[in-house]
Amino acid sequence: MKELKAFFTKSPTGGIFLALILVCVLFSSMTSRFLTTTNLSVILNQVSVNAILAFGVTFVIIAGGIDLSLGSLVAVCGVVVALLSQNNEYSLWIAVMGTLVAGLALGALNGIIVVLTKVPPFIVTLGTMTIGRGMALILSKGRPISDLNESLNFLGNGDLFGIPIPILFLVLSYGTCHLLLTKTVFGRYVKAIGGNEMASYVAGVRVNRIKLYVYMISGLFAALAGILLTARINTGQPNAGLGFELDAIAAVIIGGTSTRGGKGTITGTMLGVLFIGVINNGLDLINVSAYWQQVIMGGIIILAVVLDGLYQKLKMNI
Amino acid sequence: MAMQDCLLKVKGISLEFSGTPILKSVNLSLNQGEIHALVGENGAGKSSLFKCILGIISPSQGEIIFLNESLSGYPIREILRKGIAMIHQELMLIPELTVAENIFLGRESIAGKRMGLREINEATSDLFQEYELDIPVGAFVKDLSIAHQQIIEIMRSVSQKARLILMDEPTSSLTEKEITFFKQLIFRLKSEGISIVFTSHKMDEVFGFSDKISVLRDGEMVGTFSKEELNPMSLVQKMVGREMKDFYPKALSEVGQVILSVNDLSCVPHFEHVNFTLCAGEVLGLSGLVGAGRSDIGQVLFGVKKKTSGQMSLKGQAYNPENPSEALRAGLGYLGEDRKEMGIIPEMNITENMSLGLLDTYRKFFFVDQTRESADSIDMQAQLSIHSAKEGQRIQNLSGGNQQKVLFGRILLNKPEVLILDEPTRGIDVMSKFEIYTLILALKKQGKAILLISSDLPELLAMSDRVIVISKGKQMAEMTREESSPEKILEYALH
Repeated sequence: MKELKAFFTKSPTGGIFLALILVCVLFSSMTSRFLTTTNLSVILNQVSVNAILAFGVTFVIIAGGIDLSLGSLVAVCGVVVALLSQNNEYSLWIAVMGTLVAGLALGALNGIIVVLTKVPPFIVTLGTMTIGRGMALILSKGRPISDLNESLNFLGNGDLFGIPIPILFLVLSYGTCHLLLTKTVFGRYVKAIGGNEMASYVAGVRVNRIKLYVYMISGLFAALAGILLTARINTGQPNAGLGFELDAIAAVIIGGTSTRGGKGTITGTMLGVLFIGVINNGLDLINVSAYWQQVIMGGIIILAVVLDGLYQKLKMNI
Repeated sequence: MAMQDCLLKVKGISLEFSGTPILKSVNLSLNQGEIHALVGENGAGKSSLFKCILGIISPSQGEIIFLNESLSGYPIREILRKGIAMIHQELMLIPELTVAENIFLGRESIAGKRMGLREINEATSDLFQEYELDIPVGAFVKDLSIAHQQIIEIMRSVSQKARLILMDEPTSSLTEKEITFFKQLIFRLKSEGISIVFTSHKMDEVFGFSDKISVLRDGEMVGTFSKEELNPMSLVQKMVGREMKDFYPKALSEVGQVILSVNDLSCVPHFEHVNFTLCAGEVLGLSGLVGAGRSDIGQVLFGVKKKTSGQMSLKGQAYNPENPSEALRAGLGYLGEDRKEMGIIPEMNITENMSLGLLDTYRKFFFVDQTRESADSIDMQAQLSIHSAKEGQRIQNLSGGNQQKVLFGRILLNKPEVLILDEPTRGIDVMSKFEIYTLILALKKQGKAILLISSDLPELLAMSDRVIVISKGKQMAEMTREESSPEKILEYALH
């Protein structure tokens, strides 16, 4: 009991965890179809792409930056993996590795421009967002790419020991990112430059290098998300991933990561992703129209951040 | 003196900032049409006094009376309307608007009459004609010189019918010719019955412009004098004349070999042609006014800023750090002037803040070896007697003194041979100051070479073996501890 109280009052993710439980309780009281193993597995599967994107961009946001090009990177990488998996020309292994390298390179492009030009990352990634979308259309000649390898389809729709593959990737990504952020030298540097860039520089941190790396991580996870998305729908869509960056950033912020940088957790981001996913799923189940879902979703995002702010203040006084 | 002649009366103003007294029961009175110089060292409380008068900060005690009316409780907007204006050191104009638009900013309708662009331009032209100013009213402020921008701020105050204008170092970025014009302008204002209080570090202006001179020292008003009562020498003595208590620990140690030497070093536009050597076991003091280029010298040595010419050598070898990381590995340690800006990572705890510079050495594969990291940190916390309420406390919740000691810990973990300390005791409590002095002397005894940059003259004189004085980016003098005195240093610094 004491530990539980400590979790809710001390841990930075206590507030969003409480909110998540609350919406789960709400939906299970409204419909019996919510709290079933199948539905929970569906939710996890549905949120996997957003979660993977959100994990990557968490590093960027903690470091004090932003990446708006995520959705476009998903499209480019989705097209790349589709092209590489067409007609059994390359093995799945090569297609996936090639796409991940493409994601890293595109992320590096973001990072290099941010570091060299000192233009705000908001502007830089707004530009690369448009560039990426164009590249996806060029590479695919504006058409969906179909006739993909069976093995790619397995990544999106198959399962291992009864667990859907996207969920496995979700869990793996969560673990890796969590360790990277909390236990490694790199993770410490990311928080340091987000907390006070000038002080970190003077303390001897290679600020530019770390900034480059965070954008590369963001690109890498966007590539992974692109692969999973293409595999799931079994076609490479140049128009895929529209607006995905906003869902991912919303999840990160709901999860308690400061938009000013310096603090945040992967667990928080995971909870933010689940929060959005559960609400989408629940509103579907209780037959709220898709139009109204968007209105409600937007309202809830604002409400969640406002309430979290109040909750953090309240915690100070406990 | 007739009652109506008295424009402003500051009565027993006291101000505290987180326990540190900034102003101690300050009195000041000012007549109409009087030009009053407010002088004192950096940190004596001049700007704070201005802010109190203007209502930007409210004093903990005392009262300000303007035109026989107490100002306490009025918001800034009201005080401005009553006729007090301030010309800040950093000018407060909107660069993308025209001269006339700036002058009438926020007053686009006056007495119910809407001021269109034409009316604004006409009114501004009339005003400029009256004061014989030759500045186009339609020009964008961003295209004007600093001197013209300042005139526009002053004219804005005039057009707002200001009776009292406070000016914080108005001449600090003006050329000789511009200063002459500035002098004419303020005498013109005086003749119209407008009073002016200005701060300046330049003796010729203090004596050339003002009717009366008030001296602030450590937040206390030493006194108000007519300029006939003073001469530059006696004024400097009043500025620094605090009694030197036995506050600074003494330790004599052998000065060793030259470790760092700097030859004709320049970093335009901050400083030029600086020469000095720094030996093991020596404290070299770097004195000068804020903005004279002292901090920039430290930053070039640590690779934060790039030199434009000249040589540096470290232990006989050419030394050119590309960035702080290289300087760190070469054996330098640096404590920045502004703890908040260049020092602490507020969200991180003591250990994380301390190990930041050395994190690569705590690497175990990709991971931070937290056992070794926290062991070293606990060691260092004990050595420096850093007090924290609880384990893992965020540094932003510590006192200034403890924050500063954590930053010392960050430097010392790297075992540097040369330390560059920029204002190491700024804004910290007396006890921590004493601890830091003791620490500096202990480091000196261990044979570290220390460059101490400080605005606190008694501190600088007590701690340094030699002192270099910088003024406007130029090296004015070098003297030994025996040769130096506060008066001498200030004379060179104000040159």
